[in-house]
Amino acid sequence: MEEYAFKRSSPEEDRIGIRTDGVVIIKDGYLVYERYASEYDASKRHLIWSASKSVTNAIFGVAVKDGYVQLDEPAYLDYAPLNREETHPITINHLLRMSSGLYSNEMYESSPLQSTVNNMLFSAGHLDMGAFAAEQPVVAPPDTQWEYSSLTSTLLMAILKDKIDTATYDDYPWTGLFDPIGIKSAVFERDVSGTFVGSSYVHITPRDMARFGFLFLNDGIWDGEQILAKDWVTYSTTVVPAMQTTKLTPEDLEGGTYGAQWWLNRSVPEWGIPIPFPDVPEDMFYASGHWGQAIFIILSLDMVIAYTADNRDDSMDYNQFLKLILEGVSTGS
Amino acid sequence: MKIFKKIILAIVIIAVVVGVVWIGIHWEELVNFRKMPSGAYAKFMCSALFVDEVSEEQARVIARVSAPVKEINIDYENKTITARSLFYTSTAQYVNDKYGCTLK
Repeated sequence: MEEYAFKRSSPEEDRIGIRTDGVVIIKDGYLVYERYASEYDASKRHLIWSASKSVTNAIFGVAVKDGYVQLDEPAYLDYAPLNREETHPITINHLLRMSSGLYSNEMYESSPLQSTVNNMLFSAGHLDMGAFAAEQPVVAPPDTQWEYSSLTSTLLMAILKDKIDTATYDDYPWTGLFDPIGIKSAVFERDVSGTFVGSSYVHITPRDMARFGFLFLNDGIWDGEQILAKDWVTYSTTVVPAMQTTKLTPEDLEGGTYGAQWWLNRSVPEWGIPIPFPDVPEDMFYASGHWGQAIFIILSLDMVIAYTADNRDDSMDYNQFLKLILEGVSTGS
Repeated sequence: MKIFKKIILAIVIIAVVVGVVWIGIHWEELVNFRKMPSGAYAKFMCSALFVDEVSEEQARVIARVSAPVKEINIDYENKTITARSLFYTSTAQYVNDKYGCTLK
């Protein structure tokens, strides 16, 4: 695996090929592997981009447990920008499962003019990202179309802001999630309006990424304490029903099926969906971010793998990477 | 020769008209796009330097965007990055050790 993941083939400024910055592996509750590259080490945070969506999921898992949010409640109830007739049927559950029907264009570099995510992060929507997401037109009834959407994840964090008082919201990622599981390194960036950018902007060390994954490996329980709502991990790792009624392209399915802000290594043969990583157990699910950030959780192997990188092209093959790790585990190397 | 010139002129006129119509249709998108390179650069640079704490050299590698970015100002004292691209200036500011950087 080291030769595959850590061999940089060109100068840093070229940004070509696999450019791994860190790998941390937890197996059977123990840290069994750790390595860093470039300027990174165990103390350095890394931006995890869209793997932040799974952190947003966890914060909602805490919020549901704390009674601040219910999955089936209409999303507009405490959030004025969503209070228009066509968005009334959208629930928190639809947003978590990326099935709200709100318009989204997730292209970054390949379609910059139309990219809603670029507009949200850097242009028309960056001052109040939640409002920008909420203002998008409805292009399908909720629960009928699955559409991967960064706007949706940040919209969720904006909705949460209006459900709890400001002081509680401002500290909630720490008091509700990071502190109880011993995560010390997390930085969660916000927009000008104070909304946590739940789609993209968590910075965290790979060790703490693994710690976060370990919470999900253990069904949301940490040291005997229920951190996430009961059955939250099962909910989060259940394939989104709307995928059945969505015309999915091969690109849509490159990362696998989708749960609630988590990717799943799960095939659905009756829907014509193959397993994305055939050399990895099907019970694996993962958080995945732009330019190669990931937290892989393999239930059947009691294993968490945190991965950070600056992979600007498609050189990295997660199936190959994970296969090599699993071969190493089976041979004890 | 006259016909050839007329054909060239017609092609140029058509191209200009198509271009003007395209710009009209995509005007809002173009205005928004203008803000992206400087916004992205300022935010990436701010977070790389002040949150992830990599070197300035590494931060420049991370932050580089497709469009040319000029007038980059790194204010270490106030932890602020200002960048200009496509005639638009963006600023990202480090807030604190919980909230990292925000694009202003």
